[in-house]
Amino acid sequence: MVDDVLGDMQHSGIGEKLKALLNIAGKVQILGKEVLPEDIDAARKHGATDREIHDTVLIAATFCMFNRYVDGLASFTPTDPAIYKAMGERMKHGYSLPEPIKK
Amino acid sequence: MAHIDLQNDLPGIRGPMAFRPETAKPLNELAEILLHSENNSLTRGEREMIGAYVSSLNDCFFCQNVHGAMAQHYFECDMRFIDQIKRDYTTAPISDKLKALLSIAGSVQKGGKYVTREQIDYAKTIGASDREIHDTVLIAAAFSMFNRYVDGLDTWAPQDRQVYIDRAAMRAAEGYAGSNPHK
Repeated sequence: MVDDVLGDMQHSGIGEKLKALLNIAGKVQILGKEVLPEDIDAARKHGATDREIHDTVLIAATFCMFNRYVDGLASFTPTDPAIYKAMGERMKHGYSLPEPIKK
Repeated sequence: MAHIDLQNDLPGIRGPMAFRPETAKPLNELAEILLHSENNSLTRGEREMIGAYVSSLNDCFFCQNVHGAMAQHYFECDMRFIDQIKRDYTTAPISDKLKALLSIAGSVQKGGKYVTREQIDYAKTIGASDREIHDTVLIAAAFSMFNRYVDGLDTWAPQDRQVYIDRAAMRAAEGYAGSNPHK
C-alpha cells in the first residue's frame, strides 16, 4: 500500500482528500511558490480544512529540512527493511529517541 | 491573501505562527538555537547570513529580507554588502571560511546529496569545525523548511525593504524563542 502511494499516488487506493493533500505536499517539496490556488481549492472540495492544509504544508516543509539534514551530513543509512519496521513499531509510541548506544 | 484563512493579517511566517501556536513554539526554539544562541563559534551574523543566502536561493522575499537585515545588523554593514553576498559570495569581501560554509549551504538548498566530500574537506582545511559544519547544514535545511512554509501558504510580505531593517535591532535583542508573532 505505502509503496503504491509512493509509486503513483493518483492511482493508489487512498481517498481523494489525501490525494489532494499529497498533491500540495509534492508542490511544497519543489518550492513554496509552486502551490497554486487551484491546488488549495481541490483539497477544500474534498473536505480539507484550513488547519489540515496548514499542517500538510508544514509537514512537507519540515521533511524538506529533515531530508537535507540526514543526507547533507551523509549520515549512516541502513538498507535492511526489517530495521525500518522496528523503527516504525517504536515510533508508534511517539518520537522521543531511545538512549544512543555509547561507543 | 494567503491560501488559507489565517485569521490575522500578519506578514510572512508570523501569520501561520499566530494561526498555529503549538507548531510556532518549536519552530521559534529551533531558530533561537541555530541563529541566536551564544553557545556557538559561528557569529550571529554568519549564521543569519547563511539563512538569508539560502532564502534568496529559494526566492523567499520575506525570509531573505528578515534574515538579510539581521545579518546587516550584526555585520554593521549596508544593504548593498548583503546583496553582494547573496548575488555572488565568492567575490564578496568575507572570510574564506564563511565562503566555504555558504558553498555547503548552497548545496544543501538543492538537496542533501549535493554536498560533496570535497566541500566538507575544504571547509575543514580552512578551519571549520565539525560542529560548525553541522550547524551550517542544519541552518540551510531549516531555511529550506521556513521558506516553503512562508511561500507554500502564500503569505504576504512588506515590499519596502527598510521595514525589515527597522525590526532587526529588536529581534537581535529579544531573540526568537517565545517571540510574539503579533509584535
